[in-house]
Amino acid sequence: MMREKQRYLLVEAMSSIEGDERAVNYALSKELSRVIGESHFHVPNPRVVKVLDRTHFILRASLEGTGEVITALAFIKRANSLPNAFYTLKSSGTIKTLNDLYASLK
Amino acid sequence: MEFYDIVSEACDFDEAFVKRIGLSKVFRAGKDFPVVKDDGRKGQGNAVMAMGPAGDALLHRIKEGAPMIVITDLKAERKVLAFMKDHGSALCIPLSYLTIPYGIERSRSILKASRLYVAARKAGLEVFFASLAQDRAGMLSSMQMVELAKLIGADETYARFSMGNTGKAVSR
Repeated sequence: MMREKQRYLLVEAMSSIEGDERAVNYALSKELSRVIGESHFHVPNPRVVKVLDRTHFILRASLEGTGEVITALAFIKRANSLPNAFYTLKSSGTIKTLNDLYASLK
Repeated sequence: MEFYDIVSEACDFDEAFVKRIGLSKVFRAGKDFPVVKDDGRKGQGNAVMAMGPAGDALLHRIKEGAPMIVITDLKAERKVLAFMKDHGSALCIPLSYLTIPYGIERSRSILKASRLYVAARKAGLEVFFASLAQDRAGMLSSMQMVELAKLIGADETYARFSMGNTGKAVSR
């Protein structure tokens, strides 16, 4: 079986999003599917894989859809019906690199 | 590579945030360099940036010698672009005009910006990309700016080159 190539994105939110990984993933997926389009969402297939703190998390996307997810994040100005904004800080092939970068931000 | 952005005078941010989003410096238009807006008044001759809809008023601003022009209605008017080329002005595409509108308005803005970019490059103009954000929500990381530039038709090399030259352009 061919394994799909993935890319990880370190994302910062302007305002905090309450909840665990599942809650953050739901809030963001809802907005991302609206921007990317319901019929095309499966191509980048974005998913929150790790919540680092209330404003930082790691998002996983397919390699071919990474650019699309970065653009979509720039378009999202609300989450959980509250004003917010998302900034893509870095992309990497491994979660470890992004964890190290996040540690250096603090 | 160093990347730069331009935001409005009122936009609030701190230097740590600028560093986190991958930018070397964020200029405040109107504070870090003079800007002239199309408000019917005669502009300052030393303005670095002129803003306004494509039309006769903007032609006057270009004539006054502003090196960077923002066409606020994103219209690709051949006359304006040719005039900019003759006067050595560069075009600045405001990316927050694409991210702030919602739904069909956003789609229209993307289409207009894309047409403007293609027409400007065809006319031989230098094109810069800046968020021109009014507030922090409108600001973009360097990665997002590159992707938005690609969305409207720029290739990655040109987008990066242009974002790296914004600093020099506003310091002219």
